[in-house]
Amino acid sequence: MPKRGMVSTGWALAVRHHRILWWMFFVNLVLAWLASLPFRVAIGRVLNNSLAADKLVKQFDIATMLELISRPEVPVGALSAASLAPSLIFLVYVLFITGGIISVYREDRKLSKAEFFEHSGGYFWRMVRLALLSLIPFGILAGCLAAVHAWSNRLSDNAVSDKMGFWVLLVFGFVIALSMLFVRAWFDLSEARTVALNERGMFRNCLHSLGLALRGFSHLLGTYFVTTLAGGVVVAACLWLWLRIPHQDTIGAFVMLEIALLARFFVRLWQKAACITYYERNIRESLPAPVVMPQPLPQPVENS
Amino acid sequence: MLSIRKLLAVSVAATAIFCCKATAAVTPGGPWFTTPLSERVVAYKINATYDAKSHELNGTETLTYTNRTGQSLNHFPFHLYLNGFQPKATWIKEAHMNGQRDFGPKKGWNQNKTGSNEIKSIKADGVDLTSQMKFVQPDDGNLDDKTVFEVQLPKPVPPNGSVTFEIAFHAKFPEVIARTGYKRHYILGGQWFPKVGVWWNGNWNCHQFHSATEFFADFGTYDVNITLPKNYNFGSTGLVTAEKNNQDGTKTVSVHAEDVHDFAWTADPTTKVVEDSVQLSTGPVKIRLLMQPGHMSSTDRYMQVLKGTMKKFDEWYGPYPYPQITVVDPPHGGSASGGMEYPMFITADTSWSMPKSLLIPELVTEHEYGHQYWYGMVATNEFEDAWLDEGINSYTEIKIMDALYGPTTSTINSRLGTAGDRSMQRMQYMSVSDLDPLMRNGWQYASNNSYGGNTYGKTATMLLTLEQIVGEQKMREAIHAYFMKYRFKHPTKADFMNTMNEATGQNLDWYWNQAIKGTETLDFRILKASSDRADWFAKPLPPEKKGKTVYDTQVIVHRKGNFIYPITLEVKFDNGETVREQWDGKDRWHRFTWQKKAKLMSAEIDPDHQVTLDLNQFDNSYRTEANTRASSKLAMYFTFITQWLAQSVAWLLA
Repeated sequence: MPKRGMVSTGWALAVRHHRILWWMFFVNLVLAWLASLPFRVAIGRVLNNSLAADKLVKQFDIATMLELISRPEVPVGALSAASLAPSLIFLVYVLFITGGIISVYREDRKLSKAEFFEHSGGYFWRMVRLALLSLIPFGILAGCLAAVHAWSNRLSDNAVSDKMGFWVLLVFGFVIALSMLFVRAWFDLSEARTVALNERGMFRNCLHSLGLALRGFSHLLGTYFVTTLAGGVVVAACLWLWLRIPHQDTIGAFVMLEIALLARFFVRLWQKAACITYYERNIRESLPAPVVMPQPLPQPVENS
Repeated sequence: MLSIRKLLAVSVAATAIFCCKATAAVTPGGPWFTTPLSERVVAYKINATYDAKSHELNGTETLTYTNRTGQSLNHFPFHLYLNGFQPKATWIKEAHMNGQRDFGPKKGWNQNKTGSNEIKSIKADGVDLTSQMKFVQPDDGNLDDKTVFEVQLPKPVPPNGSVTFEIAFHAKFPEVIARTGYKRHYILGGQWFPKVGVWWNGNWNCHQFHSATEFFADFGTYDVNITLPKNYNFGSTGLVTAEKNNQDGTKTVSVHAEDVHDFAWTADPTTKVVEDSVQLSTGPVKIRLLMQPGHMSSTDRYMQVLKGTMKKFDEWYGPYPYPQITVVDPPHGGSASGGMEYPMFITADTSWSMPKSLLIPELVTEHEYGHQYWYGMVATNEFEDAWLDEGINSYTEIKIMDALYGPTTSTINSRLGTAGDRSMQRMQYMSVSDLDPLMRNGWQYASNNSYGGNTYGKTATMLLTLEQIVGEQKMREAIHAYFMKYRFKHPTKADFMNTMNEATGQNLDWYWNQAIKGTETLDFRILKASSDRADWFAKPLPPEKKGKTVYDTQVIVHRKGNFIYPITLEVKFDNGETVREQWDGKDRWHRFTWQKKAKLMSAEIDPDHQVTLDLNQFDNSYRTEANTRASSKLAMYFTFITQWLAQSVAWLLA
């Protein structure tokens, strides 16, 4: 089970430095809004002067929606592909500020803009390398998930019990989800270690962090599981409420969805903060004291 | 000639009296009806033994064919449908080319999907014809297709004479595929015995089995004995007349059916039998549901929609004369045998996780029961005129689903969104609107999508649109008249169109020519809609005053498609006035003009939303003041999805 302090300290850190949360949310929103502009323009040409659009406002008529996206004026495939660009930009943005975020949480103080961006920029390429390395375990897990999915489908058709496929997917899907949480915790630990030790060898850092993560397996996984569960409950509650908002109330529905997103962002920062707390408390302390090199004596200044 | 109302009244009364006699106290072994309902061209007596381990069946069939063609017949074609499930057979070749599930271009041959019908011997009036059996391929010349064979008789069968065939056959069922086969212990015995072709329009009609098409057969009687494991629950076309336990752990079920044109059966040791009945105008009809244990939560859904559908059909289109209807719920993995119709016997489809908001079990059950009318009783040629059964059935499905579940919620009814059956049928047609005319043999459509989109979607949409011309009530009466006139017969497309013309009292040939015979698409739009000041030339221009200033308003309606159709235009002005105008739609465009002390607010073609054939509903209307609520709403959802995606990627990698 996680140490209570880790979860609560992580929470407190994330709350204290909530400016990070707002900035992440804001950039995410702005990027997505920009990505939606071509879509808004395309559907506006079809809908804005048409009385048929009312079927999408007063209710949400799925057939009308399908008809809309089948129109050549709304190239939904191309527009959706275009929305991938903001995702990549946002990823780069998050990778960029990760060094700054970790520094804020480690030092538990408000860094100046210059300090924050100095830390951000200083660790950016190392964070990129870590992200690329994380693709290996995540890729393996994605492959496992695909295999389990195919297996589950076969069982759903052929097993004697009609629920067998479902249970296989549920159980193995849960195990894979936990594994993904652990991989995330492992790489969060790598990020924390990179900043704490100014580590430069990312592959070596990953291997070392894996050992550390395995040593604190239950603490880390428990923490990530609890925080994810808490976030999941909030998101589920938001979606439950969203479904009950009248179709005409577009603003209310959007706000509710944004609250769900905000909750997800908070959970992510909470996890990072908890991971850094774990690292600082349980690993950093056990590192040998840094070797202090004797400073050379100043040379007397000779008067010419 | 009787007026249509009188004709309807007489026919309903006659049918009620006639069918009351039939269903009030039916003796399972027959006769069920005091007078045969059909010509009864065929009488099948089949004895079959099913091996549940190998999924094979050995049978003997005695077929007495009565020649009602008015001329001598000297050769007879027979269907062997199960031979369609072999790698080189036409059915599989077509399925492979169309990328159909399990047979797509990258799929290898799955041995479990092999099916076969083998004739061990065939005699006609005692003369052995086995050696002169000849496989024929009338549709595509594929010599590897063995789904039709012919025999030449030593002496012709004279008009009103009969011939008796004695056939020994072996059937091997495939793992469920196209309306037949096994899945684990479950078996659906469809198209399992040698079936004689139909003498129709002066020729034998006996097509090869195709991946898109279904069946065509003559009415008659069936007496079938099937031996199968004792612990299997059994259901079939007809009524069980006896069940006898044998000493080898099997049982023999005897079944009798009258005035049907096919015989299908099912057996499964795990199904649970749920029985009920529904009171129709002709008396009670027994309902048998053969449910999978894991699907019991769908029982009430099946029962509710089936009873509602039976009552609506009885009320709107005509009586169901048979004493029973059996509904089979296929097991998981057995959906390929779901959603199928046989006389007095249908297969539905559900799953243990089926949400209540998705009305799939309801739609499938309604649709397959509808086939008791459009295929079962009005026995059109499903090879050549699939739209006559699938399309009319899809139309009546929409009408009944609308009545039972609401026009906008009869397919999906969730908080997230809703969809009605009529909209979904329309969507199906829109993607293939100009590919094929309805008047096309089923296997000659451009693709299975075109076959489905046209035979189901276009026909249903075309008939819904026709309601705007003839009126909903008149349309119902016309469909009823068609049913009453052609039940237990094999009507043609011309019979349908002529009956509709007569019953509606209108010559609708202009409509049939475009909607059925042609590929014209129907698409109107508002090309221009504006109001300009009538005193635009005045200097100085006086200020605009609501209710005082005079405006010249014009609306130009453009017929984009080639389908000529009369339309209604509704125009709203800012003084609250609404004007409706008509246009015959013959020219490419038409300008409407008004001079009023009011400005145009909106113009809408087809304001009652009845012309469902129109391919683009968005350009049918124009409002002068743009309203961005819908586009804003969708853009917000787009924004949210993009945010979620970006956040998820970032969660994984940073």
